[in-house]
Amino acid sequence: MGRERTAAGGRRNGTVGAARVALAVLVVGGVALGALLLRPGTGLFGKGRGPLGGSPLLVAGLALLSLLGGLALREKYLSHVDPGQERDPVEQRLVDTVSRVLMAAPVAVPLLALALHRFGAIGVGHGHVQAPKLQDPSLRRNQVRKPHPVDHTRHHESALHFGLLRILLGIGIALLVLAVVIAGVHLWRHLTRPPAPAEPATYGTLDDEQERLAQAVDSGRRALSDAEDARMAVIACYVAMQESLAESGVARHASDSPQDLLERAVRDGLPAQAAAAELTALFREARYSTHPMNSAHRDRAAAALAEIADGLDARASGAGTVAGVA
Amino acid sequence: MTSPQPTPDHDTLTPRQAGERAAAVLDEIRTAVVGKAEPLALVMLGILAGGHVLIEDLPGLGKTLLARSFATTLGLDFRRIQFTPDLLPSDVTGAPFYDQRTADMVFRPGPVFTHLLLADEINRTPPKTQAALLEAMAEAQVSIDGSTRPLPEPFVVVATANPVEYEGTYTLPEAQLDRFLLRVRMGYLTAAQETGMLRARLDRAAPEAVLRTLSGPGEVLAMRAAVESVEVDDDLLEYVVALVGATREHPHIQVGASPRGGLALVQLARARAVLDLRDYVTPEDVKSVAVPALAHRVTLKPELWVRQIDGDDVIREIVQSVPAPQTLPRTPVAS
Repeated sequence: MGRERTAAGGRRNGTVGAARVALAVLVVGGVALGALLLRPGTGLFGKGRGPLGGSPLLVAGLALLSLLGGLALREKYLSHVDPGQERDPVEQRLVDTVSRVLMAAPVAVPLLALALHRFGAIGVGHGHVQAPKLQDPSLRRNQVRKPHPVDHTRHHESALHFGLLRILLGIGIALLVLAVVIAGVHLWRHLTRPPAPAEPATYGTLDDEQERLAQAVDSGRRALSDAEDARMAVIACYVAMQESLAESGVARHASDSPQDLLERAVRDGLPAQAAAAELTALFREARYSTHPMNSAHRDRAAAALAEIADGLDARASGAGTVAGVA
Repeated sequence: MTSPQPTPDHDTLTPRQAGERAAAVLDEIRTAVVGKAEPLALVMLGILAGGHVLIEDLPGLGKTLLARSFATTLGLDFRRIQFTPDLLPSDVTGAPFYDQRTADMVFRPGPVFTHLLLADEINRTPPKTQAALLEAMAEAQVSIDGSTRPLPEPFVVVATANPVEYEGTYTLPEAQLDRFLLRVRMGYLTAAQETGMLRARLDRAAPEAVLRTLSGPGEVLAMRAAVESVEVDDDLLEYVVALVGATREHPHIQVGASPRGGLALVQLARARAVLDLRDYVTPEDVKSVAVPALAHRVTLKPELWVRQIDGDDVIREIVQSVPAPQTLPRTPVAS
């Protein structure tokens, strides 16, 4: 069981790690795309010379994609976050913040992209501005101050260099887009995967929990029969029940007394509540008293265990009947 | 209200016997004080643990009735002091008077010389008079004119205080608050309980219920001795120390609980065990008395007054955060 749990945990960690990598690539890709759309060297509303900044169709398309993608992402996120789940205050604040950001971002990002893009200047720009020239600014200043005579050989070399740069830039953009698409697919798969362990108890998981609890009851019975010391036998039996409760989701908190744990287990639907209370009382006596404990205590613990086992069997058979009807 | 009955002397009681008699006393008192199970139990714990009880709540919630009911049912000598702003310390402890016939100074005992003293509205008297109770509460004796006079045993102070009124009141100093073993809040009754109380008043056709006397000073002392025989595991002592230590490090608390707070917590937990007919203390016992035993011993930071956070809230939070003893004992205990 432990190996299965380890393997499952490893798979879960692996998928979480892949999702993180995909998310990181998406973020980096988005930032890079933004950099390509922006126009360095000019003001916020100035017309720049970014490789993708010139096409209004592309900007409008990206805005639409951003809107749809943001809405889809938010929907997936909300489906993954259980609103009824108990969280500590930091987690709850984080979840609230992410929800609000995911609500605002799908609207705000396309709006900003469209508002900040100067569609009117595009046509004008296309008419007057040449293709981007990647030149050293100092060289450009020198050109302004003192124009050189036209040198055909140098012009040819510069044109060749510039063409090579454009090809490399195009390949880089294509690779980046490919990486972003792959990352997006990974992220989409991660978000659309059904969260199997977090699902509420189906008949399968119920059976599994009952099996674990039954094993714990068996181990407690063995402890009762093996241990010569009645006190230690009762304590061992209670420990087994506590472990089984932890495995079924009712873990003991550090500040819990035995009664606190029992009350939470009862709220969680623990069968044979009277027997569990009896076993808890016996444990308290075994753990915190020093007066002698004898076989009568052991017999009472055994009876309580038997009752718990019967309750488990009854619940299991009831679940099986319902499953059969279903 | 009183119908005295002779009570046999009780030299020794086991914790179970003491718990059974305490339960009988509580059952009797419940016929007069309706719907206050937990406050009644807490006052009983204070008496069993050998301490003094501060009942803090609004007027008209049955504080005085509760104290008088305990005195009657336990068969204790009962005196009451209504604390007022002009009350003098000698009005509490007593004072020497000149006897003209014998030409001697004769000590006339004050109301403090009793078994159960009800200090009604203790925060209405100046600190000087409040302090007159300090020695009596801490040492069970009174020193007047250089001579020390012991108080009768058992000696229990049940003080009441109104926490809402500020006009003409004097807040109890921390040193005096620390001398109360526990603070009890009565609280309002539920609608059903209040209806039951009114119905009981109509049925008995008298202002107050008549209670039977089920015990006496000797038996109360025997019950206290039984509490002393209740055992406490080392892990639980460490738990108590951790709880008290947490009050000194909590960010909302300016002054934490004193070591006397730890002693009070242990004694009250032992008394709780007796009331549950056990001779050993469990973590539940400690947790159940942590708020009454510690909340009045801590001084909160002033800004918390605005946020309406009181000592009870902070101690509750501490109880929910301090680790309780582990399931397995560190040292195995043989049967």
